[in-house]
Amino acid sequence: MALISRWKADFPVFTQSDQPLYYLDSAASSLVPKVVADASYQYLLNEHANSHRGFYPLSAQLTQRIEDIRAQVANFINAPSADNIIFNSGTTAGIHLVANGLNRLKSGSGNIVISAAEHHANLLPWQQIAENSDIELRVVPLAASGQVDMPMLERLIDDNTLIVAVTHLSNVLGVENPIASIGKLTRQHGAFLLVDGAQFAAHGKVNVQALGCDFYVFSGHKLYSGHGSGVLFASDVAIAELAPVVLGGGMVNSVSVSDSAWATGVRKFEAGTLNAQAIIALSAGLSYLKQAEAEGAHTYLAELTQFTLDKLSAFGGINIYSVQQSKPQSIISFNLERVHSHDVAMVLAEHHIAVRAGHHCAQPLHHCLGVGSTVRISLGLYNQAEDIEQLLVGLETCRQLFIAR
Amino acid sequence: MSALYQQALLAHHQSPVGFNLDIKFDSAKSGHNPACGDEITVKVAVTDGVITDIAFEGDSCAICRASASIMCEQLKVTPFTQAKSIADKLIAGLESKENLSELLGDSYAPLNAVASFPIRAQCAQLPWQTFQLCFEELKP
Repeated sequence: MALISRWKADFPVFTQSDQPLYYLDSAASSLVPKVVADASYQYLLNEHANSHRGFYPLSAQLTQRIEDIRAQVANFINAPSADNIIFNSGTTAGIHLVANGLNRLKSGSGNIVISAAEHHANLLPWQQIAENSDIELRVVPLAASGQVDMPMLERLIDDNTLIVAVTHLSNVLGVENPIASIGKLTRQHGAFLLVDGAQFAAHGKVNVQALGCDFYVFSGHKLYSGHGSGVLFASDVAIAELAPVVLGGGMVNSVSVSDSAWATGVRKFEAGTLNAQAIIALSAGLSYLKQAEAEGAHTYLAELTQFTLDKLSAFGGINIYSVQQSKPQSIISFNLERVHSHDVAMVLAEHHIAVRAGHHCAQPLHHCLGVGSTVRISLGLYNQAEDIEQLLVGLETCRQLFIAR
Repeated sequence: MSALYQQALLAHHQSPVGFNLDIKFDSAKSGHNPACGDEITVKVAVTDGVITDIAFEGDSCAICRASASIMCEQLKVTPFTQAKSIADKLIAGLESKENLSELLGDSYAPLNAVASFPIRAQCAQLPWQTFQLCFEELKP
């Protein structure tokens, strides 16, 4: 099997140094291809202005460009319209807006349902609401597959459920949740469904209408686009119930010292100056990703994930978490028996291998797994068999240093 | 083989002094390193102002474990206030990237390389910070 990346040459970071780089941390932030960096550079050089403000061409053209990108993003996730797309700084900001802006959460009663696998970004805002009101936070455990336990979810959702907030793809287990089924259940009880798509967006085709979700959130920096951009999809019904949380310039129709009227549509959720540079990078990143997918990226990464699993299993003495019944997508968390994850990550770093070690902002999930921390590897378009072979060399060093004595 | 994980440090990691010992103690305190996930409990017995026994347990990385092992090795049968002074010096020394064997003696040499890895210094500090909590509880 020739697992050589056709995309690696698109990423200058791999050739800018004499030292090799085996980057296995794309679930934290994916690297940036030259085409995205060039788009940012060109923007800063030739197109930079303040959007949605000026009457002069530079500003007007930028406004048009951002609105075109809004349509591009809508198309990327099959949203009904660009009017369902809210730009922000990232997934955390998107969830924060929903948690703090949704009218029904201000009622002070009812319940919120999340899963045990949530990233802290999709846990803490809901926990805060529960602490400050009579709203109950219900946490659905995981099945052996690593997916949300559906029978338990059915028991925990009721007609008092205000919102269900779950991840599409666990940032630790790499396991995809059955969002469409969850969406159906959620609708039966009149609750909203928020999907944390931070990890899934890079690994699969998102179709928010087929999923039946009211909110879908993701970040540009996991989509080969660099830092600074985030997207919140909100359905028409959801937008009608959502109040702006951050107030300021650009989100109003009229303001007097005594009262104000918000702008109509999604612009009322985008107070302040939009990060045009990040949005333009996001556009370039999405185009790049779309092209890569047309070139077979999805199949390639699935094969590379399976190759990695096979190699890790054959290595022995490794606990891989939650792959008994589900195929992980590009994200694999494990521990080398009797070696702390941070020691593994340090030794791997000495082998020029970049991985994540710790709880990956998902401490409750690690409690469920019965471990304090894990080593996580996550694959991107630039990865190939060579990265995994080097990983095994690093793990062998770990074994010799810490175990084989 | 590894700049950080020198033989001397690994020797402490492999055969830690005072690890999981069931001792009679006067103070037991837990320390936690949220950045790293290290968890440690330090137990100390003090008689007439001298540490008569010291032990630790918990789930921690090799750096934390080796540092705790050195602590148990060095502080047993040491006057309590002198031990506190050693802990203070070691924690500050790691902070300011000093050579620990020059600062405290050759027994601390396994931790010398840690200063070059600031992100791991906190792992080496944790057992000693936890010991300081014991001192606060029992201090004369």
